[in-house]
Amino acid sequence: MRKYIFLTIALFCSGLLQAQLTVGYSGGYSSYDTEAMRSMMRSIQGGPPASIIGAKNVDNFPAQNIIHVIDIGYLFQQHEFGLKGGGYHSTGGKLSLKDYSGEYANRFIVNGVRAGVYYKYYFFTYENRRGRELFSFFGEISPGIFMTQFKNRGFFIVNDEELDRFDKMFNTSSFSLLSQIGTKYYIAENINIHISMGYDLVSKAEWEESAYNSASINWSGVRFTGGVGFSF
Amino acid sequence: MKIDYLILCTIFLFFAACEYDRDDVYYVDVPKPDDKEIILNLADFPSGATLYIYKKTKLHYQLSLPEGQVLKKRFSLSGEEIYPMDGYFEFVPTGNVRTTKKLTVDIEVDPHSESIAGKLGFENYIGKFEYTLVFIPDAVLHLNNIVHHRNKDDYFELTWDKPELEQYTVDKYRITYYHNNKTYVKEITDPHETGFVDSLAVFGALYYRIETFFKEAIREPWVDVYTTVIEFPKNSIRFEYTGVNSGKISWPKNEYKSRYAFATGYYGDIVYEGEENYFEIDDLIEFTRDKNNLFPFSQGVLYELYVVPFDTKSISKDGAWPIHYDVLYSPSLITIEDGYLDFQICTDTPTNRLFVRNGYNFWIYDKDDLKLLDQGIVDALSISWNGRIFCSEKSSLIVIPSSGCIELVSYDLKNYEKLQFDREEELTYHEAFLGTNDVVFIKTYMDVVDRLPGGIEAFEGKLFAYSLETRELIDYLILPNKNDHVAVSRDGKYVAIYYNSHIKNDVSVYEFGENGFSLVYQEDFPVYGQREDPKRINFNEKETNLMIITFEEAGGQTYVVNLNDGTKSQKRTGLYVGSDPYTGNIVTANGYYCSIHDQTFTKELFAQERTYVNYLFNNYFFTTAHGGVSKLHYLDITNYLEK
Repeated sequence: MRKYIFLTIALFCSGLLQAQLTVGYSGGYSSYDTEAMRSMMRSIQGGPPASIIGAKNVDNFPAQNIIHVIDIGYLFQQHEFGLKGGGYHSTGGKLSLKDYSGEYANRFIVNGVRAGVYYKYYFFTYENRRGRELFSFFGEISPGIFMTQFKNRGFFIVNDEELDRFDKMFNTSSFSLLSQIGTKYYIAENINIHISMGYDLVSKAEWEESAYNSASINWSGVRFTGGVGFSF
Repeated sequence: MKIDYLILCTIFLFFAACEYDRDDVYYVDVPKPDDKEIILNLADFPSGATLYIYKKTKLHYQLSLPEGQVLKKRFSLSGEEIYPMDGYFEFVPTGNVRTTKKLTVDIEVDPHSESIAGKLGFENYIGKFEYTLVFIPDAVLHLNNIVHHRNKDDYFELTWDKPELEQYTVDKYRITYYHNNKTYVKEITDPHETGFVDSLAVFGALYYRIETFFKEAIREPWVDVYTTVIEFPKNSIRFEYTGVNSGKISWPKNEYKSRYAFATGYYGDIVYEGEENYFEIDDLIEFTRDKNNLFPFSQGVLYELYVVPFDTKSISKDGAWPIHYDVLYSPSLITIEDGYLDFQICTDTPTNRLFVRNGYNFWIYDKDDLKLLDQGIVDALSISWNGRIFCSEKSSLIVIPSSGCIELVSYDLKNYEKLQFDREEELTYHEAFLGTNDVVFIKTYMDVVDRLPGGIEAFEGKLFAYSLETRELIDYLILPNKNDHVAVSRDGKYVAIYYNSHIKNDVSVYEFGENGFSLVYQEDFPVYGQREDPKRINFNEKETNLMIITFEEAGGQTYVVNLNDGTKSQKRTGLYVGSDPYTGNIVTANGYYCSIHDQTFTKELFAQERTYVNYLFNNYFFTTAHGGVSKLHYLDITNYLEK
């Protein structure tokens, strides 16, 4: 009940303050470091039973650099703050071998999704002669958490007998701080396109209880995104 | 806060749908290894079998492995690793109780398969073989109860018990045996047949080597040796008369069905061959002609009895058949265990009876057929060795000169008496002589009665003649010489006094009649220097007027003097043995060469080497023999005397 009261008050205040509600979507490039997972895969490959049977690394955690971000916030004068969701990453690796006698499949998938809040400060805005805003430059800082999910799926079947089965999942979260600058171009009064570039500093996500002691991923990396936004 | 989570989850699920989904599979096409297996052949026993170890046993094994790398080859006995020799195990039962252990053989071969299963070893060839070993110490690994017996067909049969030990499965028996210098081998392939008939086994030392072979390769054959000896009892060959000139030689039937051959002497001629255990001699004279050592039997003659298999076609003395050697004696009239060798015989001619004495024992026979008429023991007798006994044909007494007395035994062996004459002089009772006239002649010991000039002692003794019936002295003779010898004829009619000396050498013969002694004959014998010429004088047992003089030196020479007319026979080589009271024939011996002459000593009626005769009564030779048992052999020589 208190949440609804809080929401009613916020909407009422925003109305009093002549604040604008903004929604934006951004897509772009993101980099992150999967070396630890690759190392883990090498370690697994170098140990039994993969080393014995000669399992091959058929997928070695390629970085999927496309990200999608959705921002929902309030714009009040030069300040904008709100929620920032997205930054979803998914990668995987696999050791595989199959012949007439059996199959070894040890597959890892790591998913990471970022959720946080943001604050943008529009430090320069260019208006046309009619006073409509055309360009705005802003700086943004976004603290958040990176929720990381490790999945280990697979099996080891020899002569129709399942010798091993991998079916583990582990969720963990790590602190993230995204700092970036960007610019918006207002196509219309309520519609803009924008780009931004920055760096997301994320503490390492680690699967501490993994059977493989080096299961971790570092989501930190450059973010370069661009998208479209609406304001109401 | 839940709204936030819901939003976040919605977003998350949205993106989750786009989760990384690459899922490549690395497939390798490798060949599957051949389907082979490890084969262990442990002495032909299948895995899981129980093996019984009775002695130090070698268990050979063959291991057939598929191609590849041997990863494991482990042999263990109840968990403890053991190391076999080159291709075999060797197990020995120890202790004295039965124990059971597990023999395990683990083999693993890597065929170098490149598949997943192969690399993990799942396609390795694995062999695991388990055997139970039962150790049984102190088992008897020989055939039991090997015995022989006579089967229903009278053949020699060897039998044994079938082995009953575990895993000693009889495959066959092989029997090796020998006969007549040949080796025979018989194989019995029926394991239930535990007997063997040897029709060749009839006699002698038999040797059988029985090898028992077993189906189990780990079992060494058993070797058993069975020996036995089949023989006749000694002195088992018998001779018996079947007629005056015919006889029968027989021997015990052999235990096993046999043929026989009878040969004379050592490897002598075979005189009989056949299936019967006897043969008959139709013409003894002809049969014994030119056959060495066949006649007479009384001294014991070696014979050979071949006992050969029944199916033998012919028997040759060149063969190697076992032979029973035996000595054939004349039929034994008397056989006494532990008896005296001292057989003494006298005869009562009116009643045709022979009286035989040995120690306390008496036998009375018919003199014609030697049929036993009576037999008895006179315990009161004193046993002394003496020369002869006499029959008192008038008093029906057996008169036995003895030490210090004359012993009298009635013919019916029921009465016994000691006789001593009432004399001051000491009489030599043991040299007493009884004539058929019932007169007892008995000497005194010689006494010194004078000393002649030159220190020569003069002796004097007496020969008394007593009536046995009245026990009274009838007459006596003075015996002037120290070494006078006395001989009395069987009828008591003649008494010869003779003296062996280089000084005086003569014989005086007195006739004893109603008037006592009267000199009827005297002869001086030549003296050869200082040499004494010992001689013996006897009278013919039938014709008592025939005096038989024997010079004992150099094999002896004997001649006969007829007292009626003083004629003398030719001297013949040989010592006087005796004369027959019924025929008067004279037996002489030159060593073992026996001769019989007529009573006049002019005609040789019989001569045979290797013959020793003690007595001759009614043409019966009597010979004593001993050797644990005392025997009185006899032989009727009637038919061997020249007519």
